[in-house]
Amino acid sequence: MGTYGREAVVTALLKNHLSQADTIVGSAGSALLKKGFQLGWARVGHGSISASIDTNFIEINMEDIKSEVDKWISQFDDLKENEQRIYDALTEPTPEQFMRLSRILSDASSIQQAYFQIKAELDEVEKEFENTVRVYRSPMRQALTAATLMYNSLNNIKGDFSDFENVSVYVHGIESDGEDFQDDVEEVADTGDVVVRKIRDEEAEYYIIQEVDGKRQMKAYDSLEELKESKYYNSEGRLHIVYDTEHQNEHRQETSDDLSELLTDMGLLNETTKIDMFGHSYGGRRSFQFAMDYPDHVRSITTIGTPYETNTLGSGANKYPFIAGHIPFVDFHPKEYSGYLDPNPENYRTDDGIDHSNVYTDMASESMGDDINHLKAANPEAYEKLEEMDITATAGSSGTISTYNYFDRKTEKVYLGDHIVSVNSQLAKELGDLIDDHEIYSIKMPIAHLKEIRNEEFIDLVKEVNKKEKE
Amino acid sequence: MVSRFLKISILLILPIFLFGCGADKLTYQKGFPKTKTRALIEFIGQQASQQMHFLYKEDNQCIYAKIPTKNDREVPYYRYEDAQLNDYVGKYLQTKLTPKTFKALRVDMKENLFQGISNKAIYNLPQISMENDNVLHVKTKTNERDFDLVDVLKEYKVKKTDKIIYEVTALTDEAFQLYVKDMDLSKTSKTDMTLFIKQDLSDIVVTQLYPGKLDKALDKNNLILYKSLLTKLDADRYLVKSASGYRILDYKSQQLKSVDDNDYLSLDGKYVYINGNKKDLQEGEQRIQTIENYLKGNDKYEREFNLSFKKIAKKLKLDTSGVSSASINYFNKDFVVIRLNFSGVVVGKAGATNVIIDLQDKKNPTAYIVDLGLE
Repeated sequence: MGTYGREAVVTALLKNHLSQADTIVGSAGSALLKKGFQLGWARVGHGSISASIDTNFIEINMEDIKSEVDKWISQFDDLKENEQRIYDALTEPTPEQFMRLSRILSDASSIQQAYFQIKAELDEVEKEFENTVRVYRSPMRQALTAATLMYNSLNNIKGDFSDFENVSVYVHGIESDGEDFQDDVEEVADTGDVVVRKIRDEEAEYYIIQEVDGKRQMKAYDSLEELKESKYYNSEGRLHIVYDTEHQNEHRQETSDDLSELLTDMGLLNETTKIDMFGHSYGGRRSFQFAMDYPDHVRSITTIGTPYETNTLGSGANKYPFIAGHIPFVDFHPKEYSGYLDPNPENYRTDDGIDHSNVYTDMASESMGDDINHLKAANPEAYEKLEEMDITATAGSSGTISTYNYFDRKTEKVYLGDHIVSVNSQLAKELGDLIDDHEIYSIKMPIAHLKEIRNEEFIDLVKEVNKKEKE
Repeated sequence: MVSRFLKISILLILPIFLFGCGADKLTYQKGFPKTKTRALIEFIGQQASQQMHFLYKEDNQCIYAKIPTKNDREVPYYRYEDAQLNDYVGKYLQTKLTPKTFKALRVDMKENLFQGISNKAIYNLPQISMENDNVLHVKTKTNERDFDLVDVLKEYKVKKTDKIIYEVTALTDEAFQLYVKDMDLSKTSKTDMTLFIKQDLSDIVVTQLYPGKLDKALDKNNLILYKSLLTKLDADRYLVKSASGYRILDYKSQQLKSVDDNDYLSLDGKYVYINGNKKDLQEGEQRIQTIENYLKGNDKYEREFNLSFKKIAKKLKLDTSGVSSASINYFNKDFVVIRLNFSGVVVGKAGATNVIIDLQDKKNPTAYIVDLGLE
């Protein structure tokens, strides 16, 4: 829009707004914000944003900035109303006066449109900020955990459970929570063990496994205080943490960051406590991620039904979220947001302008093999610690088929997957020697993946691992 | 022609009489029960008394012994009146119940419903504390005495340095039962003991209440002074309270029995939910017997009803491939609370809920579907 014929009252107001815009951009110190303002202001046709960006930090309150632009829009409303009132008060307006009013009304409306455009640009800047911040969120959180651990160590701050030396953490898979693992724990835990159930969006629940007159009971306690006051409470046993992720479909990195925060609060990331991880389905990837991030604290990993390789279900749901979210009788949430964005440019999706990563983007784009190889190159010490861990990858299998091998001239038995994840993927074949033990369990159910967590042989394995690792 | 029509009609109707008249049909509805009933009040009362043992009810007052904590110098006793519990049930009925609000009400009840009993003699409650070297000091209305547990429990090799847990599990005017657990005894041996003690402290019987061959101490003659603590079922069988529920003293087979591992004994020990304790409770026909009929092994059932997980899932509009786990949380006369965990269709979980099965109205037994967070 040109400025030819622009009335002085409009120019005066614009001058004022331009000055305020310069102040906002200058004090925010963000080139991204400056660019957004410049793009929007170009439509105004009055000068340009010239503030320099020379501060060392960025400080933006987008809500305040938007409300400032709203104020400008409102001031042009006032101007239009005022000029209309002046014109209406004239007894015999001249054609020049009519033309003047028309110019002001039209010019003000155009400027207001430009201001709305600035707000739209600000929305884009905000999303870009959020997307950028998400990439750095995880390293920041890990640094914060490290700083907290150091602070706690220097100041001798201990968490409520720091006396436990043997801890098991159970992590569920996609679209789920820890209730099935809770049933497993009720069977595998020893008398005297403590169970903490971290429930999504709720307070934690506390239990002690007690044997009374020969009958095993999982006794509930209503609070941490009640638990610790119990005469049955004994930190020489094992602590079992049945963990619900904050978002059911969150990316494994988000789980690892949340879990480290929880375990730090509980006083369990210390030199003596050893953690044994158990994961079902994608919970195996989550467990592995935690072990990769905190290898000094993890002693073993045991998984079942875990898609270590990229997975068809994940790819399909990620690629066709609308279909996945609307398949009759199936309740998938491939768009679920969990606040994390992976640095891998393929491991993300964009919903409503927000870039984010979740279980579906992860299973579609990354195999754990690739991640482990990256770790091996980037952090060989951490990889060596993974090698020292006892890692068991087990597979649920819906059955076997016989195939004839023409080369060897013999019939071979081939295990089928659990209807969702292939046996090879569950057994983490691509991780090679890093996996110490493999087991395959036969599960005769319409969808084996759903039942493998409650499989008796797997429950026996969990019990055995808990016992062996404690010894 | 009429005769042929009659025969066909009879053939069609007969199966309804043969198969349709046994088990009651449940009415399924979402939400918590809306009216105060005996069984609902009992259930809510039990929720608040999780770390306690119910001792007796008299003059509209319920008396409990709390399981002593590390901070308790002696066994604490509590009471509440029926009217007070009744008021609390009103709060449950007025609240929109979710796992969070249900727990909040339970915690509030624990803190405010129960009143501590300081004058124990009025309620015939023994004052029990543990002194140094595992000497139990007991004071009742009529007597006061020290029991050196190293001596009293010498058969079980209890030492004076051992960590001992003790709980009052049952009580009458004549006697009381004390559960004692030695936390330092080897895990391979039986660490739990029960002491039957006369209120005047003139007699004590030491035994163990593990299922199996009857301990000599449980001989009829030995327990003659403690009859008030037993519930007679028939000429040969009595119910005895242990710290983990009721057991059956069977003098005919000389066994201390529990119900079968697959079955579930009610809180008061009077009813058995057949297959209620199976690893996964199955849907379909459910049967409840009195303990007497259960022990006789007959086919007389107190209640029979059909439980349908599919109908519950439908009420909750869940897309599910079925139930991944089902178990009983609470069972007493005419009232069962179960937990159902529904799998997703392909992966994950479709949802979970509690179901309160209220069998009090024989004509219209109802299943209330509400998630109370009870697992």
